[in-house]
Amino acid sequence: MNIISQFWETIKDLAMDSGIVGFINGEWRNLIMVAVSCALIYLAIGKQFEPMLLLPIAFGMLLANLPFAGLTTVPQTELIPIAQASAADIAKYGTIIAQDGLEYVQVEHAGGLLYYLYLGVKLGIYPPLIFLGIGAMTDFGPLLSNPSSFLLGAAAQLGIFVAFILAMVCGLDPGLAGSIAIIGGADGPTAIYVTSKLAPEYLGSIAVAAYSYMALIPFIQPIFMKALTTQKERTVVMKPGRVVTKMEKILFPIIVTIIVSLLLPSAATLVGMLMLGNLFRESGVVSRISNTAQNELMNIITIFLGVTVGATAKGDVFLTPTTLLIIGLGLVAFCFGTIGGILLGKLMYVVTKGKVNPLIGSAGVSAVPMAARVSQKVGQEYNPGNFLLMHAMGPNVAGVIGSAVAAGILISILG
Amino acid sequence: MFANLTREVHKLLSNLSSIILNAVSESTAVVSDSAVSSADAAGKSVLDTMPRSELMVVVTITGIVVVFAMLVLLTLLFAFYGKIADGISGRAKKKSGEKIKNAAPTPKAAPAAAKKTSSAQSVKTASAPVSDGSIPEEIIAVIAAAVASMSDGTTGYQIRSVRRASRQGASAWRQAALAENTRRF
Repeated sequence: MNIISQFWETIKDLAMDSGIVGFINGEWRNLIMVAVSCALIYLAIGKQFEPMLLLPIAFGMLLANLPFAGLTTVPQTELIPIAQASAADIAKYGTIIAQDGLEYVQVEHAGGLLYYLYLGVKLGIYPPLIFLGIGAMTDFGPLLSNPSSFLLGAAAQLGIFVAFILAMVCGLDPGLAGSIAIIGGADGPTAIYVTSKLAPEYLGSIAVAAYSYMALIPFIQPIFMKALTTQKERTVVMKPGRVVTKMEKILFPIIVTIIVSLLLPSAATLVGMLMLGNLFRESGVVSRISNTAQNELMNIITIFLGVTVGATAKGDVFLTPTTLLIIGLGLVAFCFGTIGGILLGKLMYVVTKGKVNPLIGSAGVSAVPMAARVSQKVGQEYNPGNFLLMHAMGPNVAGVIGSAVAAGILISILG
Repeated sequence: MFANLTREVHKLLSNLSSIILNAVSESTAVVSDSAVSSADAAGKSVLDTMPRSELMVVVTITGIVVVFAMLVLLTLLFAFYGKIADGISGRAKKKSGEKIKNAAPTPKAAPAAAKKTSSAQSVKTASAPVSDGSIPEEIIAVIAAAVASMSDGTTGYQIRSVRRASRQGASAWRQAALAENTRRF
């Protein structure tokens, strides 16, 4: 009888500790977040919306919103008065502290798994390492063969500043406004890096917004590309750029790092790692390291980054009007980035007397290589033989540098 | 094309230079202030006292100006570097005896050949190119015109010989693409 009643007590204790009780006890927002995370998992797997990042983000969101699961618990140190502590506790933890004449046992509670993995985001380690991988995967040849692409990469960062103004006008905190603005750079790691420094509590919302819009680029961009260009401009066939020598490709990352880091030290982390990765690739003498940076390192960091960023999307932060504002302003940032790039593309068309196709301007948002592919596709719609992809890669990769510079500025002024 | 662009950019820059200098000095003041004040325990004292509207304008202007200035600087630098690199590699190139597979003349080359007869004369064709009799003379003339149009005035290419490509069956376009993609850079 005793055993049965003890068994029953144990079951009741377990039931009270369960997450379902947590939902009932007022954490209803977490239940909604679990539903949201399942929807995002569907988008990632079923609709293939940037699955490499959205899937870990969505699952991290799921794990963080299951009550009492403790994956994101912050480590704590508890001081239990020695009179209350059991002998087992004292033997286990050992440290006895004397404070105000009383003795306490110092009990260390470890944090959750995702808390420790999240330190890579909090301390700004993961995004620069992702940039290292991106640099190792990027070919800056098209940019070097046509350096005016740098300008298109700069113009497409217009969205960042338009969104910043609007966010400030909406009354948001400058740090949050800056983080929303950087969504317009269309660069996931940059957005995470800036947000982790300026508005870390909103990291989940901003990451979800940024990666969702990056996945929607093929739907958002063509609208503006078609609306802002004339038929004549769209059908321009661009001449191939000049041939770029190996020496140029090797010197490029070194020169860019030196110049950008000297002029804007706050951008040095991102730009430096991007260029280091590129140098690994272009030097040709460290192929093992280059391969690792492009593959294993990227994959490992993507897993950690995705899961931990998703885990910051707790119900009480995510399900607020601010999140709606973030999503809305993020869209505005994206659209204006595309508009800025196309407008400068039109200007270059006029200045070069018809040699530049404005459609490559929209590729200045730094979503490599998706935006370049969109330029290629739209260009081909109007002129079937037109091969804009390599020309659009120039602004595309310049945009990565441009958004890193913009990130440096935002961090240095608002941070 | 690019010389025109750099001239335009230079004009734009000289017009904007006063604005840029003002904004940059303002931004360096803000940046250095924030760098100093973020080091002290009191935090961003300068930015705290700046009203929101001012902060908004400062960040926007600074941001746009600095991003553009930085990338314009990189543009000019790499355009300049590209010109140097072209000069070095152009002088080192020698085109003796190369099977001219991918000098496939575009339809424009034919009327362009007529215009470029003057430039063709500047190319040193002291000796007639060696060829077997199977290639019609008009084809050799067109190839010579195309090669002449490739030279940029100072470095002339001399055709040493014109030989029919060995593989008869494969399409010339395909071989051109092959040569293009496997060319060392």
